[in-house]
Amino acid sequence: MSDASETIVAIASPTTPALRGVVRLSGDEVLPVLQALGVMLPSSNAATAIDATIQAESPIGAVDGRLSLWPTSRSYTGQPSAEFHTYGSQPILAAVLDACVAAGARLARPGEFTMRAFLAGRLDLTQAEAVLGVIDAQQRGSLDHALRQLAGNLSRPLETLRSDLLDLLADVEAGLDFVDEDIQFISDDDLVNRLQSIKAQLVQTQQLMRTRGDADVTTVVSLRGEPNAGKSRLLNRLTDRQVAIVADVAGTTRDAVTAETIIEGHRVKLVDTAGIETQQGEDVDALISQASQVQATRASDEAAVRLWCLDATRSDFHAAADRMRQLAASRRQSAVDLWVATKTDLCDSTNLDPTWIKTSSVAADGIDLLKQAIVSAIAMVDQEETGSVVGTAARCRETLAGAITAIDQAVALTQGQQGHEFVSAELRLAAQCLGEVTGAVYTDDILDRVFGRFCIGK
Amino acid sequence: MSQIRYQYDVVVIGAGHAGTEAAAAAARVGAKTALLTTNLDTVGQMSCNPAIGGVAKGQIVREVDALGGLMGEAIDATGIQFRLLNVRKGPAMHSPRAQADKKAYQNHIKHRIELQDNLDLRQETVEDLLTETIDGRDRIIGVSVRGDAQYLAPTVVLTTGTFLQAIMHTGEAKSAGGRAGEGTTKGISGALNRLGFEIDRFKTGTPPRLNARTIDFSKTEEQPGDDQPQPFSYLTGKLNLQQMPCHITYTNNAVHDLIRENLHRAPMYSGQINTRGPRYCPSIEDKVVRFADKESHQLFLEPEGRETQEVYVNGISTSLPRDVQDKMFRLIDGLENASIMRYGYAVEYDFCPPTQLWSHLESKAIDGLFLAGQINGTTGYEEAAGQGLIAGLNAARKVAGKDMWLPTRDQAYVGVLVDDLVTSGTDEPYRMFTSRAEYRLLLRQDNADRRLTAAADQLGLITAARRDRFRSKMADIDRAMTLLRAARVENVTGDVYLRRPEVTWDTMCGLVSDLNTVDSEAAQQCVYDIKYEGYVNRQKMEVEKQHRLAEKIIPESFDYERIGSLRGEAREKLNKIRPSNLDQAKRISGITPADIALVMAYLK
Repeated sequence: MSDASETIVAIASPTTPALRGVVRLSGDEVLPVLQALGVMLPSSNAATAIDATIQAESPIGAVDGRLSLWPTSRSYTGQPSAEFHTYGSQPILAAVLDACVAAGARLARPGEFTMRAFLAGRLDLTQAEAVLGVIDAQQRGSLDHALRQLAGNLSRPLETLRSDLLDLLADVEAGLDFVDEDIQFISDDDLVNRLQSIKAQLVQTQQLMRTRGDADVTTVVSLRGEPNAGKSRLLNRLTDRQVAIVADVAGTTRDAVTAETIIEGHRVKLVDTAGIETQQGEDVDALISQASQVQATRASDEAAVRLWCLDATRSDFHAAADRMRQLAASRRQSAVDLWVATKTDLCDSTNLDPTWIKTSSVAADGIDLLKQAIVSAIAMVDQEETGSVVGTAARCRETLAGAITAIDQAVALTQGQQGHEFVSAELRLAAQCLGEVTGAVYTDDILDRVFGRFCIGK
Repeated sequence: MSQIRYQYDVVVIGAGHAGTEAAAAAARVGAKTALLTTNLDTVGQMSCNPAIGGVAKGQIVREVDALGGLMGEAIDATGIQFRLLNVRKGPAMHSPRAQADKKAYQNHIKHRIELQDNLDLRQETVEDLLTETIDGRDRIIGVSVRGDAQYLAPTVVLTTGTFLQAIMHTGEAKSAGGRAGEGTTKGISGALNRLGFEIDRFKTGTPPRLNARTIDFSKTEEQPGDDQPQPFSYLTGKLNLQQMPCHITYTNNAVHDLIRENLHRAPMYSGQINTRGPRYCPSIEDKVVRFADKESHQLFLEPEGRETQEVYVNGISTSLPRDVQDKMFRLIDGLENASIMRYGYAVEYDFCPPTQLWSHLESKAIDGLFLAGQINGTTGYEEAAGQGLIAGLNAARKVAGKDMWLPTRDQAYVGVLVDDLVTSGTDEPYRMFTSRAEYRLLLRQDNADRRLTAAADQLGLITAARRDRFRSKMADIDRAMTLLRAARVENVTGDVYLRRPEVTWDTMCGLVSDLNTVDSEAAQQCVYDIKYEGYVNRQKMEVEKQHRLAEKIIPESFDYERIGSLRGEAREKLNKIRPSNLDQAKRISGITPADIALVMAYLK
């Protein structure tokens, strides 16, 4: 384990083209490093944001940007830190990074910012799994960004809910342990009402997470290929439902069709892009086609996994395949590409290059094989890009689902006149689920609440 | 010096509920044991309320019994009123409680001790603990007693209750002593100090006792025992006794006003006592202050025996001065003319924070010295008995060179109790609650034998009679389950049919006549096993998760300094508690999952 006081630096924005880029610094020497780079620092110890210029090596030279500064330990990492926001150009960001290193900072190891925040107690998403994931994470920057977002969005409402749940649990427990007291701790009606109110809030949080957290946990898989390559049919097979309109006429899909599905436990957003067409012209159809092209290209660029589909019945299969590989190479490099030969039921595909996954949407051949390939690809993407975030987010999701199920059970048990000890077991399960995100459940928590509220004891 | 020296395997100091169980357990497993008490007439005495059991505590008594302990049989033999609490709830909440004939109980315990092979009960006042240092490590070698004698033993179990540096308070009046009319044990306090034990202080209280002749019971509510009293011991067949009722009356605003006017004279409020007392057993002055809006508090009038008029007033523990105590009762229904036989008092005493002990209740600092009962910061006869049994057993096993034994948290409340103490310590006198057990649905009073008796047999803790009875019950359960599974009712097997809420054991007996021959205790186990299977299985899954963490052993020599990035607070706590595995480490307060993850990473 490295020394947590060393000053570290990293590019904290994604490597994909973006308007803005961020270089982040943390450690005891952040201020001297910035001074050495020619930044005029404010005298105040308060967190602030200033316009700043950093002197990088030629040919880049002076880089303008906005500097967010936390001069004291009151920061995300619990130590002096700074973020320099500038243009989203890789060469510029790399030059700023080099300059920081020359001025005394060292390159951060994967997940090191998160680790520091964690050790400083700034992250309340205290999961052992997360930490170990962070230590092992393959890539820096995106990880702690994602983790932070996740924590900020979820832990506060979950903590409040957990507290409500523990209060309720205290009432239930008091009724179990202090049977000889002349106190009515909680009635069944009151119990059901409070359970339902907690459930409503959990459902709300779940929705909140779904909208905010999706980017972190859903893998975008795009289907690419020339018109009538059978992409829409493939999408329907993968989702087991009719999402795209399918016809044997080239160009049926004009708008990108998206469908969410779960493939072996992985949440996947399938994007069926419009066919790659080269049509030129003035007519309306062509214009729509061009608009679709833009959309298709964008969807495909967002994808972490791309399924390149090619009609196996084509006589020029090999030539078309080469063109497609070229196209793939010219697009986002970091995506995992899978090569899918379609309509293999209509021809002899035994001679096909083994990199091609042979499928037939009509006969469902090879679909399972393709699903396997997608899952492996997702695993690669996870490891490369998001480290443990997927695991953490997935656990949050499980957590909420688990807590909601437990509360439903508790309501059913109460209404079924079952003993409160069974209700308590469900509530504890729910609290434990939430505790996995916000911190452990200690029985003293509950006892404190009991003694705080009731006159207990003979 | 011409000292007399006695040689033993295990010496137990103190013959209360912890000491008697400790000595009996050690002797049962074959250790030559001495039980030393300052007064032979107070062996097994009930210093506070004349009752055994209650919610969670009753479960502990059943466990002590399943492990071959004394408490269950003693209360069955001497109880005067038996009630199963919480019967309207499920079986996990059913909790036996009984009023004892206080003197008879104590005589019964003493007699059992006297009858125990391998065990010498002696009246002695222990003046010092004897230790020696070998290779920089301190170990106990025995104790010295008043009158120039020594008891030498490789293990000593200390169960001194509230007698260390004890001070009793009644109003402004203070006197030294751990129990009304008795002294304090100074020598042992001095020895613990000298040996470097961290010592802290607690307080507890006890209510006044009244003369029943002077109580007008017609103004109170009667609380009878159960129609079919249930015994505590698995060895007791049917209880045959004439039960005595308790009575209930209430405090009122006039009483509360009187207390408020005299608060400045209560040691807890005048500043005379600054130590912490139990929150769940507040004095009446505490109740009036903290819950000012409550207009009355329930008081239970509990007879202390068949051949005494003394009545224990449960619910009005107080350290107010005598004149206030007298006036208080004038204002309570039924007690207007009551004559106080003993005044209530608060007692302050020393205890040793139990985080200084290993999981088997042996001191980390002094090899061979075991601590059990109230000296570990607990309260309650049952909690003391459970610890005593574990400490006595392990002291004997240590002498015999055997592994230490402790029930797990999913196996017994006794396991929860000991683990909580050594892992988390305690901020107030520790009492068991069912809510402290995460596997409450597994730890039922009805299945303590199934949880513990086989293990107790392995350990050599039980008699042949108990073993036979246990085995025959297990065989009966198996036979009944086989019959149920073989039967078919409405197209399902008998066990599935019994799962239905409206189907009872009697229904099944009507359908499968062979079931009528199944013993009623075995039948009850079948019903619970079947009806609560879902919940029990769920808790068992949780248990397995815990066991996986528990399998990650932290070596005693593990160096937390190696983990550079461990938070200072975490390092300090881990160094102090020195948990034996990750599961225990996880339960230390203030230890976060992140800390555990770091330790785990370094364990590999």
